[in-house]
Amino acid sequence: MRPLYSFSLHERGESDSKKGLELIRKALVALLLVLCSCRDGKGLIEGLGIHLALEKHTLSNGMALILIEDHTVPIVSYQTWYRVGSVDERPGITGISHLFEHMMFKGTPQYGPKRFFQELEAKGAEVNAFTTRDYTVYYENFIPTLLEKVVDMEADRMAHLVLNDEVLATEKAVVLEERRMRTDNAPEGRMQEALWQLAFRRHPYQWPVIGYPQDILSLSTEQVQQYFKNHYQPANAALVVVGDFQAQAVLKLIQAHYGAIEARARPKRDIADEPEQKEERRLILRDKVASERLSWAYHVTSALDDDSYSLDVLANILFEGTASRAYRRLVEEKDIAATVSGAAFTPAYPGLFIVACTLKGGVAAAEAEKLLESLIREVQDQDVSLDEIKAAVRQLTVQLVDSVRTPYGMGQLVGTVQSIFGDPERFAQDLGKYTQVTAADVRRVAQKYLYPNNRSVVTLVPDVVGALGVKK
Amino acid sequence: MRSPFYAVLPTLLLLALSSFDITARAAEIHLPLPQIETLPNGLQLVWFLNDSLPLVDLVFLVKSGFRDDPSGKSGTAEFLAASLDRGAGGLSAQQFAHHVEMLGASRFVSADEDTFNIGMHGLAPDAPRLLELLAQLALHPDFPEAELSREHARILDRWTHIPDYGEALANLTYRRAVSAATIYGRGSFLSSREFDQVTRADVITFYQKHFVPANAVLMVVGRVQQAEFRKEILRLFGNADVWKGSVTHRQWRVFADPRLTLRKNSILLVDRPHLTQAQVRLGFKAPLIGAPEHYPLVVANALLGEYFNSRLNSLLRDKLGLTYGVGSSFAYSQELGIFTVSAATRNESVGQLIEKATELLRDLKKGPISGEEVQTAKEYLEGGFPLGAATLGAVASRWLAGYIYDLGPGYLNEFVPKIRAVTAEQVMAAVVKDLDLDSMVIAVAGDAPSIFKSLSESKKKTVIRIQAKDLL
Repeated sequence: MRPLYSFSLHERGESDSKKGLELIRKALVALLLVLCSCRDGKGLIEGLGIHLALEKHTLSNGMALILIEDHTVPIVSYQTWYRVGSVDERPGITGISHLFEHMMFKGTPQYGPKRFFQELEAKGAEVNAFTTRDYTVYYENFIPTLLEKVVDMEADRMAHLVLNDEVLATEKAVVLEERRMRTDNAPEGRMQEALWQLAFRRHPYQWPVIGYPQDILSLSTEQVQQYFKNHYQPANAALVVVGDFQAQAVLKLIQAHYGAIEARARPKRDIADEPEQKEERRLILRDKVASERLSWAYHVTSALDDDSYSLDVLANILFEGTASRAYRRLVEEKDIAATVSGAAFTPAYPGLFIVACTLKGGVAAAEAEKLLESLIREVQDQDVSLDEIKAAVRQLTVQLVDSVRTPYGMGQLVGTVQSIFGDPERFAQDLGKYTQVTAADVRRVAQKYLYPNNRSVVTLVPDVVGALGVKK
Repeated sequence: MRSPFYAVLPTLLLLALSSFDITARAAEIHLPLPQIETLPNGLQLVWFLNDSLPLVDLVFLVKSGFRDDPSGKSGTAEFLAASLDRGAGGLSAQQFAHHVEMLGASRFVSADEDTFNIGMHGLAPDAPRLLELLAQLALHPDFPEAELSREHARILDRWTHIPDYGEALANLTYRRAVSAATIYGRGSFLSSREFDQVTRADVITFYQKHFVPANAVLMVVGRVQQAEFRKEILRLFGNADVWKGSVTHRQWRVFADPRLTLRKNSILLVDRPHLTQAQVRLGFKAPLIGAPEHYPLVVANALLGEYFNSRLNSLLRDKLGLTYGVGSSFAYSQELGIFTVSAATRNESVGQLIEKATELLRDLKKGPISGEEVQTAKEYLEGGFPLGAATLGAVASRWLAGYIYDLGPGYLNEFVPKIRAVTAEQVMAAVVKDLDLDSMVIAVAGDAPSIFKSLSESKKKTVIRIQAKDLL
């Protein structure tokens, strides 16, 4: 899903719509962040009571650096965004990107194993990482006195990570436990994995970020070392630093620590396009669960396409909150579902519009499918209301303010758009683009993407004997 | 990279608010104190004001919870929490949702062992409207018969989903067993059979008894015009002629679930067929949060199982690769403290994990605990403190915890100096006194046959097998 939460603009009648739209735009302009760019790579984030300076630099070895000073609290968020994710894998080495999330803490000649935690976490820093299909992020949130050490250690492991058989074996075991927890033993995890597998046949989005067990087990130290060499290098990374520091001093510090790291050509992504889906795909899973569950996925577009804004608005109207159309229909009016949710996942490559529903006990998923079909037909046939637009705009605004209230949140916002678009200022543009979405856009994307032959369906049904030992 | 078990401090409220001014660097951090007043009808009013971001949180807290469920009517408090927004102030559930979400705001209603929390989160300009909606929810619920009947059925349906997740099953079993013979022994919901006895009349009686001004707190967090807002509060919440009273005749009874009777050295094994990973919980009753040895125990917990280089993680994950996530924590209610070690591991290694974790606890109690290890834990806690208090919402949550547990006005700012003052001798003394290994509760949820095999290969534990349906 897009990093910014979706909101919607919609016009019902001509005169009402223009008036409503104008009001919404005025409200939005008053509340949202404005990014004023300057020619020297410096800008100012203004609005929401925030006045922050943003600087963008590119080191001589190609590493991007974004610095945002914020002295509100004595905290710094230091985020290293590597442009590598499961999309860069191939069959046989699935999960290798995520494995680095673990291996990157295994030490260098200068800072041995566990030193990241001894030097930083032991001083109160939050030290962690996450992997997505498109990128991998390592981050530290800490008090400013630790900044120099963080810079030193992050630069050091970018250049000198030690990878050997012993640490690889232990971390494989840990990753398999993680997989058991998140996927194999979690109904939602199993369904998500199956859904992406079913929807994609050629594109690497088909395999899970965490990888398949047999691939994880078979990875060799040489493969891991080569992967590190290819992807963990300055030209494939962006540093985002937000918080309580002096930008000029930090710039010098970063130049001193990262500047000498060898420049290499940024790895090219040679990703196969996913062919058009021409018929509905279906899969049934079984598990010891109390009721049926349903997941739908429609192929949609990527973050680079402006349809993604309209899709976010559409998802918001259908699924955001208990006053949303889907919740009202499935949970409140028909009382057949315990939960229903949906979102447009539009990452760097064309993604999925995903719908998920947990049925009440004894209710067949087919009943939910009929209701969801009718909801989709409604947004394809009729305009959404002005009230829905207003609600969506305000929801977006609250969520946006919530997301930037910490250095970490601001860093995530900027790092995401930097990783996908190569432009840290893009988030301000994104907000403007949401205001351009019209009812016609919402209707058009519903018609363009949400049709049965473009859909994959995974249903999870209770096994003959459910978890409670009751025969179904 | 890190596991979810590292979230060790219980979050009382999901407040998401603006940043605040910390008066000095981390070493001398001083959190803002609230303004507190008591209205003529006895309602306490708490102000945490800050205008840096255009957000507001309104929290209405009632000092009653699950422990106040009538005898034989476990689940009443949970039913009440679920019923409050099913119709209030003449608005239907859907109308109410629409009014809140139109503002882009969110609401929550929840109950725990000791309290009800009802809240609104939204944009500051909407604060007066959110206050009105909060007043309707908290003071004017309609309890429509048909809605409550549906909600009753929904709660029962949700309850049947607990065995879908090994984690939920392990938590339920462990919590109920470790709370045995306390006033929290029933938990939120003892059984479907008992909940069947809870009626709409019970909900209304509970509400009328406990939702009285002298038993409640209203907290305002964020940006409001205080003088004007206070007038609104007085109008909506402060009328001593209309809304008055305090809770009388409060009687709590201890309870122990006969289905979970423990013998010494026994393990409760709840069967959840077909899971490949088992969820393990072990621990015991602990001193209350206000106990003199609280801070030494906080340090002990940190070095045992809070950070990556803690004893549990170093051995069970880093060295043995037994688990993706292991951690230890203290959780508190007003009249009960609980210490817990949590982990998940493949079925075949459950016995080994329990043995190793128990050994670590035994070693900790046996000592010695070095001054260096204690110093590391103290630095970790002190350095991480600003991260946990970086937003006004986090500060307000912390204050509220101190309020609920009656820890006095100094609680908010005593953490760093108290941690700093802890000595290795105090940690050792607290561990010796309070690690009650003889009363340890061990609960495991997963595929019983394969786990049983693993347990039988380990030492001297009697395994008590339980079917999930018998717990519900």
